[in-house]
Amino acid sequence: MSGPADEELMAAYVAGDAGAFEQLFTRLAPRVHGFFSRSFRDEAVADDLMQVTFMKVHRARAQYRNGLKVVPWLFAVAARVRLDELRRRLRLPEDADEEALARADERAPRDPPPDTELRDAVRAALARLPESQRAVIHLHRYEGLTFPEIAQVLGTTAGAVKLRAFRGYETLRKQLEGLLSP
Amino acid sequence: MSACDELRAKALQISSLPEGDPERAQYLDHARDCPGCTQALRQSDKLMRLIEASELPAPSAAALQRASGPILAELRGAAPGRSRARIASLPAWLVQAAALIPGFLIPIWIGRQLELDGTAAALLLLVAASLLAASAGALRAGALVALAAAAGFAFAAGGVPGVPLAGAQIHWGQIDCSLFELLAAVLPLAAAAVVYRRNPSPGMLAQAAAAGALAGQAGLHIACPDRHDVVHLWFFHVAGVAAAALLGLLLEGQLKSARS
Repeated sequence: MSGPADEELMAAYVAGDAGAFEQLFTRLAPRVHGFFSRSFRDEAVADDLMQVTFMKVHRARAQYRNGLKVVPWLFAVAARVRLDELRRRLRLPEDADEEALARADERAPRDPPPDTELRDAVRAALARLPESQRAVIHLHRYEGLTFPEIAQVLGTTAGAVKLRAFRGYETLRKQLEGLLSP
Repeated sequence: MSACDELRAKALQISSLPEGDPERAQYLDHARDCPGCTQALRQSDKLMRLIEASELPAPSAAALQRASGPILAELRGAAPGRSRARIASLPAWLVQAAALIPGFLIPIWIGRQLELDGTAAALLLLVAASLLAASAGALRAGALVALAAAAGFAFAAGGVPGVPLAGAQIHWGQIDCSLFELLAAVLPLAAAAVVYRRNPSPGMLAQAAAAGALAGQAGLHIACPDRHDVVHLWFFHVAGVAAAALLGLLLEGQLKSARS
């Protein structure tokens, strides 16, 4: 990554610098979009939730503390937006936490897209995972967050996050076994 | 289940660990002499690479515009100015220390009977004030340290108003020195208040305000015509620092209650 650090840009944005926000948005919006896109497998929903997330970040920017790592802070906001969307979709009460959502989501029926070639096969295998596992794997593999950071972002324990990730990886391994053999 | 079976079952977990992780290193040590475990890890690493290669479509330009447009419009409408943003991106300690300079210079600028012999001592006090301003928030009792510095300086400059001066008159017309010190406290206090709103720490504002007043006291050591009058020093110069600390404490209380 070149240019100022995310944290410097965030500090300038909090102080009212529109240019800093623009730079930060260009850097991070596709990643936030990717997180929602992976979770909900729907571009239009990902577009909407990305917008909601940045609006929430904008309203909460005064609460950002200088020096705090921006990516986990941003994904914590995105994770709350995701939770609200899941609660709405799964018709769960407002106080349903991450674990209750994961349980409800694992029971929900899934509609797997057809797999054609290698890349599509992996994408389809990922899409077949429960959303709760997909979200953890996305934050782990694509955002490079550690398990304790993911736990903080999702508001759960590192143990629960690890378990979800390994279950997901194990399912992927089984589904993609043919592609993995030398 | 053999030891190798147990290890192979963990290959996926190992693959998800970063390079250099002790658990991963331990597995690699074992795998070096064990083709089966090496194969299991290779498969798991391949899976991780496949997952990473599964990219998602980027958001459309229209979606990005829709998400950033209202925020940019609001930020540009507020027109805070690049200079404010630049100041805010400087380290807080630097801004807090730099905020002392006007308070030090104003009495010298206005003063008619400058005593430049006192410059070295005044600069020494300014350095102490800068250190206190820069470290505002690090010490809970920082304002007391500033007050002790003000008293120590007054003692060094004029002594203590003791028995021979018991009947000395306080000339209230000289209160402008205290007012100068309070004025000198305003900028450091404002700079510290901005930081405090984001990252509050007890005693921060009292320390910043007292440090500002201390810088004012340093300026007065060059500019004040009564700088050798011991009663004046204690009643107006030291008291000015105490009043500034009190002001900082009151503002801190206000901000604290506004937050809760």
